[in-house]
Amino acid sequence: MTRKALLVVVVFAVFASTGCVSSTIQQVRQGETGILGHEAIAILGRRHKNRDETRQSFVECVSNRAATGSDSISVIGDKAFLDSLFPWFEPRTAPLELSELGRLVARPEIAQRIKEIGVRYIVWIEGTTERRDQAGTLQCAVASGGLPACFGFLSWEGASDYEATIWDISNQISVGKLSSEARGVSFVPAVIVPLPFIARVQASACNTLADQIKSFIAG
Amino acid sequence: MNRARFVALVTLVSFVAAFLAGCGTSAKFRMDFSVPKPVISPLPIRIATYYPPQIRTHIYEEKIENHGDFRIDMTGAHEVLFSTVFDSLFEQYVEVENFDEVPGDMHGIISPSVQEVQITLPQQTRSDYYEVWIRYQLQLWDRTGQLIHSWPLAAYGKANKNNYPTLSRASASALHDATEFALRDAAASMSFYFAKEPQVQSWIDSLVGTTS
Repeated sequence: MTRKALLVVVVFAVFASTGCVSSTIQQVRQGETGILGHEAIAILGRRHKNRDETRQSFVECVSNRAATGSDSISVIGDKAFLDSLFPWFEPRTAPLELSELGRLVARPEIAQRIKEIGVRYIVWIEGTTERRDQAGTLQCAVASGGLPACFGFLSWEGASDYEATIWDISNQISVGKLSSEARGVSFVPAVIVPLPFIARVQASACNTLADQIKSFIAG
Repeated sequence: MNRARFVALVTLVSFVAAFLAGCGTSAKFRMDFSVPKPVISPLPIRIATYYPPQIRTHIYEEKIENHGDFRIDMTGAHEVLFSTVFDSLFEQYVEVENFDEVPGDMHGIISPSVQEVQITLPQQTRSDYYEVWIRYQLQLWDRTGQLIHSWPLAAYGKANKNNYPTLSRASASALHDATEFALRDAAASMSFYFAKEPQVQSWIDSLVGTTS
């Protein structure tokens, strides 16, 4: 009986922790791709805008996911790449256009450093995750017995919209753009105990975008 | 009150206290800063650097009404920044304790100082960012002690509050990172724009013309 009760609790907890997420993936290929065993990609977040900066946690998530699994790619993280090529990829100095990358790579010291670290592609990540249409209320208080209790219903829509632009450093061309959108409604009903049903839209967008980057670069 | 209720009450009070402590925006920390060696070609000049005492032991302190006390100890951080950049930017670079110590083979002396530091919090700007501005003043003299140029160097850094856990000391971590980004920005600007200051550029051109 105890085991059955435990099983019910575990199954309920699994369902309670996740809400439904729908994902949409799109890609535009502008050039041929392929990567050799000794080559790597650098996954970088765009930071030149004053608002809506891509979260560091998302860039790290995409980097970690792209670097793992059976079809993994060698990935140089954002911080390591920026440090290796300091100060050419700082928020104020990073190339925004391909022509600027061409001028950068034409400098012998930059070309030498890129060769040393073995980076073939730069993947620029831009986008945000937002919480929209929040509705309802949830209030918690200490009940008469001295124990806390919550009542109410809270819901919101999570929306993740990210785009990855891939530059081939060797040929100094943009080889493609990938986009990942994820939508999901989260809700938290509470009758004494709050039960969160969270739609993990950012995690979903990260996983789909990272998998898409791997297959796109493999060609 | 029985034991179970007492424990529940203590737990609740502790949780609320921890939550309020975590949400406080006061921040006091020391900047442990290092910056990568810039990937740049050195200019063909030899420069001595003098760091005035105010830049060596610079501490930013401010009490922001309704938001708390802020103290950023930048002792050593500015020196690390400029030393690392100058080491890559110039053909030869030495630090001096006073102007009498400048070796005879140096082309000039440069001295940076901190003019102003400003911070803003997300609560003040209604944005997602902790922001830090630093304004330096740089002075360059030739080996005879004549002032070649004096110019400001502005640097900016920001850190998104959403990158930090809400129940930790987010303001200290975020302000630390925003300050680090501002120091990196200063290093980047110095690397890029030093030789693009017109007076500096013409001085370097005159030196290269006479020594080559």
